Amino acid sequence: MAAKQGFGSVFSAEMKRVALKPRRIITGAIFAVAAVILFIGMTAVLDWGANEVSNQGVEGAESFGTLPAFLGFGAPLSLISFCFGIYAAAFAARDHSDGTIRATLLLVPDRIRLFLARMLPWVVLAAAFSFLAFAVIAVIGIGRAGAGEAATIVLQGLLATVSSVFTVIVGFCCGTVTKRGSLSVFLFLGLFILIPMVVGMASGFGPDILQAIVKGIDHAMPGVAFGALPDILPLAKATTDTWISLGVSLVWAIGAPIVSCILFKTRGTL
Amino acid sequence: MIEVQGLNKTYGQKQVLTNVSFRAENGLVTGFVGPNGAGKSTTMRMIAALEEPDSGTTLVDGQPFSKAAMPAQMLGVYLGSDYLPIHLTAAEYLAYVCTTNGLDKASIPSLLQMVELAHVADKPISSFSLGMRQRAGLAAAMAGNPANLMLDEPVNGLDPMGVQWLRGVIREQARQGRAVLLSSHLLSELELVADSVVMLDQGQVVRMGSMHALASQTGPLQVLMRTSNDQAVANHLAQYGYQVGYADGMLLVTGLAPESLANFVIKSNLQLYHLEVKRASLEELFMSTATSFESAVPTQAPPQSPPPQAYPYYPQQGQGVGNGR
Repeated sequence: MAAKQGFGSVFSAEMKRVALKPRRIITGAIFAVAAVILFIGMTAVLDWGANEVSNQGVEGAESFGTLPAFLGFGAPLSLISFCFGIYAAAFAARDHSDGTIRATLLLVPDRIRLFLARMLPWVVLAAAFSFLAFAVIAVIGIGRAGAGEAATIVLQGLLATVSSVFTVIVGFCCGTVTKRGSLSVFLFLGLFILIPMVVGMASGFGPDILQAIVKGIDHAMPGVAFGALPDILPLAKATTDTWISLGVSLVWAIGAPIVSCILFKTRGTL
Repeated sequence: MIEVQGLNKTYGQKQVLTNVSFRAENGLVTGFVGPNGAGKSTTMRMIAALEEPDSGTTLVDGQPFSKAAMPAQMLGVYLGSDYLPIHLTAAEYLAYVCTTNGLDKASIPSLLQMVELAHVADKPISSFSLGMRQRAGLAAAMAGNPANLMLDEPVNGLDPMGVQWLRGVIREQARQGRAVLLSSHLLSELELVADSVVMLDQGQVVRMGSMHALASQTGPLQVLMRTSNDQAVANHLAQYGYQVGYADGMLLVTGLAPESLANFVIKSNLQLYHLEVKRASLEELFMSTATSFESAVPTQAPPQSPPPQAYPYYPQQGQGVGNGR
C-alpha cells in the first residue's frame, strides 16, 4: 500500500533525478579537480616567482619571504562555487522552460515541499565536491604551513565549503526566479562578478557620501560576503567588516530561498 | 469526484472564466468541450492546482488537490505533452512518479507494456513522437491507480488503434467507479465514451447534462425509418403536415413518436425494416450552442418542443396506405 507523500520521498526522487546522475557527478568531479589544479598551479607559480626574485637579488626581494606558505582557499573557492552556482542556475531555469516543473507539480502539488526537495540536491552536490576539493587543498596547505596551522586551515576549509554551498543556493534561486537559462546566468554573474567589478572601479571617486554608498553595495553583494567567509577566523580578531560579511552571507543564504520559494508558490506555471 | 464551484479568472483585462461550476461524478465519463480559447485547459489547470483562480474553488474528492496527501492516488492528470519532463527517459519518469508518491516501482514494466512503450523505456522523452509522449503521459497519470482521472486532449497524436485502446481504458476506469473528466476536440470520439457533457464557451458553462438530456434540447423529435414503401409513407405523412425528409437513405420524420410511426406502418400492411430515434450528435449540439450563445444568454428555459402527436389516421383494417380513401 502506498504511503502518504512526505518530504523524504520527494527529496529522494529529486536526488536521483539531479544529483545522482552520472553526468552531474562527473561534472562535479571536474569542478573539484579544476579547483585543486588551480590551487596547485597558483602555489607553484608564486613559489617560482619568489625563487626567481630572490636569486636575482632584486631589491626588496626579502618581502617575498613574507608570502604565506599556504595561499588560502580564495581562488579555488571562487572557481568551484561559481561553476556550481552557474550550473544550478541554468539547470533550475531549464526545469521551468522545458515542462519539468509543470510535470512535477502534478505529482507534488505541495510547492514548498517541491522547492526544498529541488534545491537540496544541489546543496549536497556542491557540499560533497567542494569538501573533497578543499580537503585536498587543506592537506597540501598543512604540509606547507606546518601542523601548527592545521586547525585553522581545516576550519577555513569547512567555511569555504559553506561558502560554496551558499553560492549554489543563490544560483538555484536565480534560476527559479528568472525561469530562463540565459537570464538566470546573467543574474548570477551580475550579483557575483559584474556589480562587484563596477563597484570596485567606482570606489575612490566622488564625494564621501557616494563612496559610502559604493562601499555599502560592495559589502551587500553575495560574492563578496561569501568569499570573505573562510577568512573570518579567528573570530577573536574579527573586525566590523568581518561581522558584516557574516551577516550578509546569512541574509543571502536564507533570504534568497525564502523569496524564491514565495515566488515559486504563488506564480502560475504558464 | 471532481467539483468546480464558481471559478472566475482574469488575465490582465481579459476575463477567461466566469462563474464556472460543474461536477464530474464518480463512475461517469464527463466530456468537457468548447471551442479553442473557451477556458477548458485553464479550468483543468486550476483543478490540478497549477493555477489559482481569482475566486471559486476546485475540489477533488472533497478537498483541494494542493492539499492531497497522496496526489497520484487522488487524481491522475494528463494535460498534454508540454507537461512531461523531456530530459528523463520513460522509465525514469515513471520511477519519479513512483518514488514521489510511494508507489511500488515493480509496476513500471507493466505500465510501459500497457502503453506499448517498453521497447523505448530507456530513451529520453524528448526523442518521442507526439503519440509516444501521449502514451507516456497517460502511463504516468494512471500509475497511482487514481480515484479520479483528468485528461486534456488525450487522443491527439494517437493512431486509430491507440484511440480504440484509450476508449476502452476510459470506459473501464469509469466502470470501476472513478470520475473521469475528459476534454477533446474530437467530438465524435467523445460521444462514444462520454456519459455527460459540460460545454464551455467564452469562459462560461453554456450547456451541461447527460448526453440524452442534451440531445432532447436541440429540437423536435426526429425518427429515421425504412419501410417497404417509403414514398407512399412520405406522401401520406406530408398530407397531414408532418415534415418528412431523407437522411442516410432513409425517411426522416419530424414530430412523431416512433411508436406512432410503427403502429401506422404495421396497420398499413407495410414492412418495417428500420426504426430509430435520431439523436443530435455532440457536434450538432456544440455547433448550435457555439453559434446561439452570442445572441443572448438564456434567462429562461429553452422553448419546449411540441409534444409528438399521435398519427390521426389509421387506415381501416384491410386497407393499405392510400387505399380506400
